[in-house]
Amino acid sequence: MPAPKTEVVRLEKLSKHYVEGGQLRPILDAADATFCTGELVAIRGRSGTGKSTLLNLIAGIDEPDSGRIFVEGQCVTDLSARRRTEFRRDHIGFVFQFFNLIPTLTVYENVALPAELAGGAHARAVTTRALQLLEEVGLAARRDAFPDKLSGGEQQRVAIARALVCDPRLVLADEPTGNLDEANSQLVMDLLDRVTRRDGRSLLIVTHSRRVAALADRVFNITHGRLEPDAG
Amino acid sequence: MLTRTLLLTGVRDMQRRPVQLVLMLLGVALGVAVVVAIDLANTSASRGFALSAETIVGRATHQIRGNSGVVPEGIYRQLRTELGLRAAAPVISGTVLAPDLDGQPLRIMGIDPSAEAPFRNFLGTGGALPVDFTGFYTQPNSVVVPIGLAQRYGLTPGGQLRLLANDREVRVNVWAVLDPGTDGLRRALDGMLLMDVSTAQELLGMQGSLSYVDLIAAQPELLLLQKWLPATVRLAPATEQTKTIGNLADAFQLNLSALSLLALVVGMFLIYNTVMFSVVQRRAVLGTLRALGATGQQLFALVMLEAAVISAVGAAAGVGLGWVLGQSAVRLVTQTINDLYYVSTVRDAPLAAFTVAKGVLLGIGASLFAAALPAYEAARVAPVTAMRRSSLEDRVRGQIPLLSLIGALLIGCGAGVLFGVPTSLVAGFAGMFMIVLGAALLVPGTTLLLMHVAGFALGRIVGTLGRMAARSVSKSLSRTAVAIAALMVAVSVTLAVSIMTRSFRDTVINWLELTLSADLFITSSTGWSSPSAQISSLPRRSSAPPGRHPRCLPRCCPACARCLACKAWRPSAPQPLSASLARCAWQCLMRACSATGVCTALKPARRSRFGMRCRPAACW
Repeated sequence: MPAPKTEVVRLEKLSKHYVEGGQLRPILDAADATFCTGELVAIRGRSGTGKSTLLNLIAGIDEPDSGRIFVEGQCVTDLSARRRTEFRRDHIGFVFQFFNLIPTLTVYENVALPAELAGGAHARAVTTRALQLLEEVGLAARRDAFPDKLSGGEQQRVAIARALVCDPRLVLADEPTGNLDEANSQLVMDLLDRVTRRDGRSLLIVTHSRRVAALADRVFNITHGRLEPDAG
Repeated sequence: MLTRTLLLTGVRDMQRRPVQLVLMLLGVALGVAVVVAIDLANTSASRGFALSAETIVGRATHQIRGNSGVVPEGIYRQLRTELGLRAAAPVISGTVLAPDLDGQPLRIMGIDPSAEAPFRNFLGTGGALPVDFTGFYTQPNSVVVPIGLAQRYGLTPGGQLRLLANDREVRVNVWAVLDPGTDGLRRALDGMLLMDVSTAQELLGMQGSLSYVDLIAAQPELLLLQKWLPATVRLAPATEQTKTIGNLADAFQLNLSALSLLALVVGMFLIYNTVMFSVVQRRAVLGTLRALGATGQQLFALVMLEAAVISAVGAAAGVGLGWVLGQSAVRLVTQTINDLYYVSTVRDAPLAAFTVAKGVLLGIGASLFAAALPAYEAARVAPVTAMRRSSLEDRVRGQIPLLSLIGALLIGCGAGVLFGVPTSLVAGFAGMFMIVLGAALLVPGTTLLLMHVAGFALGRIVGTLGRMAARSVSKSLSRTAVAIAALMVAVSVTLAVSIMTRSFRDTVINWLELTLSADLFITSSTGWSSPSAQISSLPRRSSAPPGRHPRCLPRCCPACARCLACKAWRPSAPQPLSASLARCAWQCLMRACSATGVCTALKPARRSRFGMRCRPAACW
């Protein structure tokens, strides 16, 4: 009998707008949703509908105008900026669309960075953990290379390893295959699927790709600022 | 707080941008170097003066000085014989040139060694003189040379030295080399020649006179002296003369300090520009670090630490560079002080701890101030905002109205201070700083406006590329505005100082032309017994040039149409003139006008058979 799924993310009446050239552009409009542990959820929508904004809000790297976000039972919107940063460091892994590797750090240093920032147990085990993850993503041999020497696919794999170094229960991926060719996209998705589901992590992934969405347990579309389950 | 990897991001970023790093270091170093150099020059000159003044005044409490500039030597004789004042010493002081010693000016101090002991340390205490002064009384033109001067130029007892005094060359004999014992006294006496009073009188043409008489006198003696001294001399505190000269020199040095602070303000803009550019460049990386778990406090500390390290290195280099520049600055300042105020023989500029501390603190302080704002902004905003470049530009544009308002207010306040308190240097500097800062704050708005116009114009002339060029400036306002402001401040300050010094120079030239109305000034270095007889013996012109009145000098005052020898014109009291004088004066005026080009707008108010009158308003 499968274990009951517990809630990992809950959104309550989440709203966000941007000001562009003096005009107010609403992105999210009282959006509600719940995501459970061990799920792979795909979030789709047309460009500009707020997919990336949603992930940024959940990760706490952007602030909503109203509404609340709960991650693993903690209301992150009620936290101070510093506490939000610390919570994100310990509980959430983020994979960016454009990799966002630190150009002046080597592959190993990029992967180890979040653990070092977290300190404590993460920092003590960082070397072992980082090398293990690099092995897993197939880049142990490139540990001393700088990001500008890597291909797009390799950089994204480093970013995935970085996102997992603090052993988060929730991984957010913002169009992780958006800048990759088909072969690398497949490679990255297989990797993400393997490392998240195997350890019971939840993965929220923003994507345009139907193929990626087909791997998901659930698919949501963002329409008119709200999250709606995908009919297909 | 700062992890090893976080520090590595900063270090490696600097390694990857060596040119930018060098520019940042150079910006800080130059700003600090200018302040240190001028501080060195000022401190050395004023220290030299203070040391010299203290040494020369010694323990004297008062001085007898002549109202005409000299004291008859009979007064000193009477002081000692009639009033019984033992603590009195005659002094002759003056300046000569030493052609054999690189033409430098030397101070002459004529003394009576037997009366010096109570007054000055360098001749020994308790009556023991370090040098045998017998030769002073027996050998003519004997001088004692201080050890510093002697060592520099290889002067030894028995040697001779050429001096130029009042355009007359005199050879003096080096009787002895004086080592006063302490470093301070050696520096104070450097550039001074000691000689007997009578030798100094002959050298400086002051036979029968003294420059002043030093006294150590208590109150009862002072009261007696005030009653006894004739009206041609006066009793003054010993430090009065040096204080007066010191005040004049203080004003000069204060202006130098103000200019060095102005250079620091310009330097601060340069430092701000380079440091802020560096932080803005890394804004996306800082945003990513925030997203990965670095707190705002950690990033703020990282940026400030980088700025502190770079500025510390730059400031250290600036202190070194400032010391090198200071050696030249000391020479220039000393030369100016020699020309204008007093003879100063300061040669080197040792680095005082206060100067070093001042330079380092200014350099580091300016850099930290420059880094603080962008660091705070990058640390405070949401990580996604920091990662997005467009958000920075949106924020900058959003702040333009406020910045422009503050800029306009600052300019208004600055102008108010400048015009409201015109005589205060501190207020003037504060007002000028407010105007400069206010103008800098107006730059973003002005740049937007000008680039809009430029884009339109360039688009018509060059096409899309032209519009791109203009728009790229306004789209990157966070960087371009600061660079434009820094350049604006540097150019405007340079221009302002050039205009100021040119204006001073023109004022002095105009004053000289007004004051020195003759073509030739004749003076005597030996003293004429009958000046008019000597002048009368000069050859005269036998006839005046055609059309020229024989009494008319070649140059007339061009603005007042006044023939100076003729005294033909008196604007306040015009007199009827003979036709020949009128013709002469008119020709003088035309000739002077064509020579100087001054009178193109000058028209006589009235022209008549009897004379002309110029309009005072057209003069000067």
